[in-house]
Amino acid sequence: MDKEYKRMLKKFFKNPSGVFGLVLLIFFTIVAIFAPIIAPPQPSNQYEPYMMPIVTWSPDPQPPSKEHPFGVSERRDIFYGVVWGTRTAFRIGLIVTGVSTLIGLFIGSISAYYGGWIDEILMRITDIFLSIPFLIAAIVLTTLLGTGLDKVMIAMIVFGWMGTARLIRGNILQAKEEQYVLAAKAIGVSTPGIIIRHLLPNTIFPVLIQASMRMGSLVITAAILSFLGLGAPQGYSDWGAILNYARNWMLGAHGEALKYWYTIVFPGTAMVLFVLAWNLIGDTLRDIFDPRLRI
Amino acid sequence: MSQTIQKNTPMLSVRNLVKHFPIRAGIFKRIVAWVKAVDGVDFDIYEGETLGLVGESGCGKTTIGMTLLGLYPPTDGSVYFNGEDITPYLLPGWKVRSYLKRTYIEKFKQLNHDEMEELPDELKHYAEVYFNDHKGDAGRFIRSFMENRKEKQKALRRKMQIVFQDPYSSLNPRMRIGNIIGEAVDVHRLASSKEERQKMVADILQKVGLYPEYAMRYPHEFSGGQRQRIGIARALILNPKLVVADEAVSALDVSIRSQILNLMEDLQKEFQLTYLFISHDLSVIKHISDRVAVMYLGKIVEIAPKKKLFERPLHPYTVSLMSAIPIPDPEHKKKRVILKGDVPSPINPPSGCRFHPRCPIAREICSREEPPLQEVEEGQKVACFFAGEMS
Repeated sequence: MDKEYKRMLKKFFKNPSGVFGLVLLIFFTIVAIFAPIIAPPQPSNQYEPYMMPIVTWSPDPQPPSKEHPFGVSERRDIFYGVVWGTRTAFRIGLIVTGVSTLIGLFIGSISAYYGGWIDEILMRITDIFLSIPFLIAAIVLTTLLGTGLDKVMIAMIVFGWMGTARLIRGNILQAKEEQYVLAAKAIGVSTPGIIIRHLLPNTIFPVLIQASMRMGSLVITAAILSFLGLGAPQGYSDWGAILNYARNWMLGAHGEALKYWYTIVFPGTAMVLFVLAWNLIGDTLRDIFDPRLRI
Repeated sequence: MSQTIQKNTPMLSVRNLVKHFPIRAGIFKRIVAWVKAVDGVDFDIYEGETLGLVGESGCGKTTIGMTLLGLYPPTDGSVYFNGEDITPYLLPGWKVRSYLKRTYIEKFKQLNHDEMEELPDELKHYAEVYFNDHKGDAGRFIRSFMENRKEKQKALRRKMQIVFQDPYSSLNPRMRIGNIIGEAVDVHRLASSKEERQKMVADILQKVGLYPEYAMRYPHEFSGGQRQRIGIARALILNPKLVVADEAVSALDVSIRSQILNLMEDLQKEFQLTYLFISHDLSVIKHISDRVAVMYLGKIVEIAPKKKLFERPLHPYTVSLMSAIPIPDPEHKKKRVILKGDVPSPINPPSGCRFHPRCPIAREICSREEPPLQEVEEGQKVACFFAGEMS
């Protein structure tokens, strides 16, 4: 393997918080992959495994028991929802981050490379998107498109690429003055070739770090939208949706404030740990790639 | 060696080359001023020679090099390579039509067929193309330049290459040496197989004095001198005719500098290269050049064979430059010509002769009229009304 990457890997594994983040992430990955084994869907909803099974007809939440280790909320098994919700979290995070980062890279690099009017127009469009408050925009968009997880994801992509575009634009503006870019032009490398082979490899690391940080926060955003009732349909395994069920029970019962703690703690913990994992990894990557910290 | 070749047609001719950079300000990015980096420059480079281009920093030397390679589009003027007008390939596509109209078509339209003989050589060639090949059809004439533009630009890139100043920023830190050099092979499809490409890279690495194994390494593993060798290899793998060396040794250690200069001289013999050697360092220029052009504030003030220029400079600016060369002899008392003031801003250059505010022999006419670059002695052109007065 390459020396440079070996050195980076070594540095990564020397960083305890990075390793912790990675362990958490691996744990979530395993849970997501083995969800059908950890929480096997009942025969009745085999074809819709993402729907949390209804396990009781009593509308009150039930505390954790042997059968339902995380308890029951809104008649549905929380454990099942948390396990299968891991898949939902990954899906939202990866797809939204991936697509919005690609859009951002495309717009930002074109804007920076060509400059002039193209830059001006693209950046003003970016400004317009930035000036719209995200939650309101997402609510409006989901109202237009209809509710649903995919609609939420579309809203998050449409209003999520601007940060990447600005970041990569700034970096490319700096890098395009380097002489190796001029040298590539003198050789006759095409514009896409210069951007892909010369500019992006030298500017993309901050974007990757930002993307990994965003991966976590996107899950929170999706949860907020689910909590507001815009996201997943009733009964869909999604951490935000499970929290949404807890809305009525959050204040506890009369005289017992913490009576229904399990309706919030289990999905909440899953979400916090998921976000933490991505943030720790992003932080560690930044420490590794930041040349100012390089010895 | 250049003396005999010089009588031939030049390999590269530059006529009235102008490069102005706009300064933009305000929300609407209005152009508020122009930096006149290169402001009407004429020179020729003959096959096999080394033309040194010398001047202080900010005088436009590098801009000339970049413009010749098409890295900056020229604002005005023409560049001919082996007699062919290559300006349309240096300009962005949307400017080609207006360039051709301005330079050729408008002149040809007012022309009677029998007047063709009186045209200057450069125009005559294209007048023939215009009237004979294209039957005076402007559209066809323009299209002939626009067809296969990409291929023609690529072909031009194979003929002209550049070696950059900074060995640290001129190599992509994330690419292996083999790919940095081999990229040119890929772009121009010079190799039919991976093995052939590898062999080409290995060959050129050996030619510039490096081991072929270095192809697997990254730029940060090399010293400044080695990096400059890699930069030279990258330029030479396309087998160019003309190499623009833009301050190619300025960033190097003195001890390494002579190594690289000698390498460049050896390569010049081996590959029959022609150099445009840009430098601010007179000793380097003196070492490597056959002829030398001296620039001041976007203009060439003197151009002459090296020997003549160093023995008897005719332009007052050249005289003062020469007097600044240190002579390692404590007994030698030399008359130093120290110029007053600073180089004026190229945004707003002085009227008339650009050198007149600092010139020790300036007279009234100098601030009024711009002296043309005229041949004063054989092979020695000077842009001064009082050439030779100070030497």
